[in-house]
Amino acid sequence: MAIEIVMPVVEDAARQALTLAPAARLTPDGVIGLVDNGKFRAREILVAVADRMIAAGLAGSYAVHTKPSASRPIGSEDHAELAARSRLVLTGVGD
Amino acid sequence: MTPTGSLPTRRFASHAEASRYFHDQGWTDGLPIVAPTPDSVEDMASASGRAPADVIGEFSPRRRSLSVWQAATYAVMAGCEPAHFPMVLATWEAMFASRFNLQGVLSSSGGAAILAVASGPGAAEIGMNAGSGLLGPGNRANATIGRAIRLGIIAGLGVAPGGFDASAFGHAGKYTFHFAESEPPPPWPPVRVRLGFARDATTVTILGAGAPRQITQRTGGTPESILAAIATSMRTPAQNVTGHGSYFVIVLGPEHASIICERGWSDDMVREDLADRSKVTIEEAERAGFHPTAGPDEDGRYVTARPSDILVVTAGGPGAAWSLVVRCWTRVDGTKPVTREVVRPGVATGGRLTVADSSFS
Repeated sequence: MAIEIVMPVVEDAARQALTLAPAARLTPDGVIGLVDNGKFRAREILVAVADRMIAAGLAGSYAVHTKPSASRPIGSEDHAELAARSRLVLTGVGD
Repeated sequence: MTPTGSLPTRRFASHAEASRYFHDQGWTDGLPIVAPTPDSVEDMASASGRAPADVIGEFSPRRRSLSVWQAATYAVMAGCEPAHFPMVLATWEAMFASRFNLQGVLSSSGGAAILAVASGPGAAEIGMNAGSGLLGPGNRANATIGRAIRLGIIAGLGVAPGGFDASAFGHAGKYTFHFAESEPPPPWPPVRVRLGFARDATTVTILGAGAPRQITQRTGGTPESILAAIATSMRTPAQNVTGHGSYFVIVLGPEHASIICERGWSDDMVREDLADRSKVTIEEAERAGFHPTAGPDEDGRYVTARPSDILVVTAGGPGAAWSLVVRCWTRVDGTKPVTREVVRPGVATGGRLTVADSSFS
């Protein structure tokens, strides 16, 4: 005899409808936002990437935001500020 | 009609087929589950005295929320009895406190588990183990309450190892990490009272924690010798907290607890002593090849834990004078422990009386 079982996952239409934003068009005068998560040498590697992008004419400058704790997510105010001033945001995930 | 909330149902030929399906979907911890029928979930949810649709918390990184009905579903899957469910819910509520930083705890490569210490009459009433082998197999409450949380993390919040859970190693506490305090020897008050709750309350205190380490000191026979041994285990510089400080749960086994309590050492004295003894000297850090990112204290030593960041618990079974050291997975700026009262339907308590001078309060 068949049994009815509760599925443990919520059907969430809003989550399934999530799509990526269109890719940003890079400009020679754009600002690259760098999110340094505080891990060892995170800032150095991000700046090295930004320097190469600037040298290649893909951006004009960069601005670094350093998280106060690597373990905590970036706050909503910082998130909005980064989005407002940056053409592109670079960060690393994990260690 | 059974209130299935936003969870759909599906028909299976057998419980075994359902268990296999759940595993294949990535909804389990690798062990077989109890297939949650609508009736069993309803029985579980009813034990909370709360509406099934009540939302316990939101987990924005995965765009998920957790309702009482969902939590009940995972509790059934884990093998909980309905009597266990208030402890499950209190643990979830603590986890969703913003200071806990659930996103960090669940995602870090440091591999944190949810350590939960239950204190109070409600823990004994549901048969939680506070004695021998409390972190091992054999006790249904300890085994299934923590498992209900982990299954909810995996299936409900969508946090699975190798995905959002980036644990480099993980540890066995990620299956279950719940245990109960055994009432300490006089004159020490129990954890819940030290943290500001009424004696008749039942609480659960959680910490994002690494693997436990069992230590022994059987020859000294003094509080100082016991605390020196514990502090030695706390103070390794080969961790990312040295200089910043972290949280520790120190579980005193019965022999150590007796010596410390009967010699007149208070909880405050123990925590002050451990904080001092667990500091790391500059030379020790250098010998370990470790370069702290925070400077030493005025005394020239790096902090491992401040007194208010240490919780001393009495539990465990008799033996050769053992205690247990559990360290938070990260430093103090990345998370905070949380304590919540376990709300048991039909049981009135004095609740929270004050906020103690403890990060665990």
